[in-house]
Amino acid sequence: MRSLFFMVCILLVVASAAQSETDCQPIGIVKVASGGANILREGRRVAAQPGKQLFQGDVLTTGADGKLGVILRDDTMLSLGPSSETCLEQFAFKPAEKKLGMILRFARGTISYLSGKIAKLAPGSVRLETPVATLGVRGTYFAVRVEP
Amino acid sequence: MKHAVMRKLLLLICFIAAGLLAGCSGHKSYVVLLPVDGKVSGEVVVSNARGSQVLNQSWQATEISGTGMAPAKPVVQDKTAVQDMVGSALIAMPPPPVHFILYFETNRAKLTRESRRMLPEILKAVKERHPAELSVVGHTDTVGSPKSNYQLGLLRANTVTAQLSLLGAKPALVEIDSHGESNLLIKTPDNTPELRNRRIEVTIR
Repeated sequence: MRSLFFMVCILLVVASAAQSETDCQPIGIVKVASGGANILREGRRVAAQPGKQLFQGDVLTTGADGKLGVILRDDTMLSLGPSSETCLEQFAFKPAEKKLGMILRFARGTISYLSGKIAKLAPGSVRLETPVATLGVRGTYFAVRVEP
Repeated sequence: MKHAVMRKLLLLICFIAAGLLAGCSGHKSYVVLLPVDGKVSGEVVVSNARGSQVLNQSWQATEISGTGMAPAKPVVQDKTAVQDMVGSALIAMPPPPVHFILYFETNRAKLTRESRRMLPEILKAVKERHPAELSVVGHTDTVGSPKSNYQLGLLRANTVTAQLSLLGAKPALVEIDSHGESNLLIKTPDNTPELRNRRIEVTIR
C-alpha cells in the first residue's frame, strides 16, 4: 500500500515536471527590433534583440521610437509600431497532439498580424482581443490601432 | 439665482455621467484588413457587446470610437489613409518564413538524391535570415510501428540538422520534433510504403 502511494507521488512529480517543461518551451523568435523594444517577462524587462526567444506570457512593448517584429512557432507574424503593447497570453501549437490555441491582447499602439498555422487548422481556437473588441479571424492579414 | 447655479451644476454632472456611461473615454480603435500578394487575405469579424462588423475586402476598415461603442460600418479606404493609421507597424513586419520538404529512402535517415541537392538552398535561407530559427519536423510512412516511426522521424530530423551544420549553417535557434507516422502528407492504409510521407519539413524563420 505504502509503495503504491510512493509510486503515485513519483508519477505526480514527473507529470508536473513535464507540464512545466511544456510551459517553458519557446513559442517564437524576435526578428526585427529597433529603438526601444522590450519584452516584459515575469515582472522583468528584457531587451528584445533579433534572435531572442519568446515564451508564453511575454508582453511585447515598444517605446516612442521603437519597432518590433516577431514570428511565432506556427508562423504567425506580428509587428508593433512605436508606443505599442501586445501580450502573448496563450500559445499552444502541437498539431500531432491536436493541441492548438492562441490568445493575443493588442493593448495599445499600432500592431499588424499575419495569421499562421493555428488559424488555418483551428480558426476557432484563436482569440485576438483589443480593449474594446474581439477579433475573429479566417485567414488573414490585418492591422489595428488602439489609442490610449 | 442660487437655483440657477444649482441647476447648471446638476446639468454638468448629468453630462459627465452620460459621458462615462457611454464610455467614449478611451481606447478608440481601428481595424483594417490588408491584402496578401494583391489578394483578399481572409476575413476579420470585429465584435463587442454592442455589435459586430465583418471586414472581407482589402483595405476595408472599421472604427470603434471608445469603450461601450459598437464597431462602425466598414469603409474601404485608400492606401494612404491606411498607411497613416498603421504604417508604423507594417514596416516592422519581418520577412516571411520559408519552407522546404525533403524526402528519404525507405526506413532510413538517408535523403533521396534530389532532396540532398536542396541542402545548399536551405543553407542560404538560414544565412539570409540570420539570426534564424531552424525548425525540422521528421515524418515517416506507415511501414513499421508508430513507436519506431516516431524514433525514425526524430533520427531523420537530427541527421539533416547535423548535415546542415556541417555545411556551415549557424541558426540562432533549433527546434527538432518528430510526428512519426501520425501526420501523413498522403493518406494511406497501415504498412504502405509512400515516398511523399517519408519526409522532413524544414522551416526557417
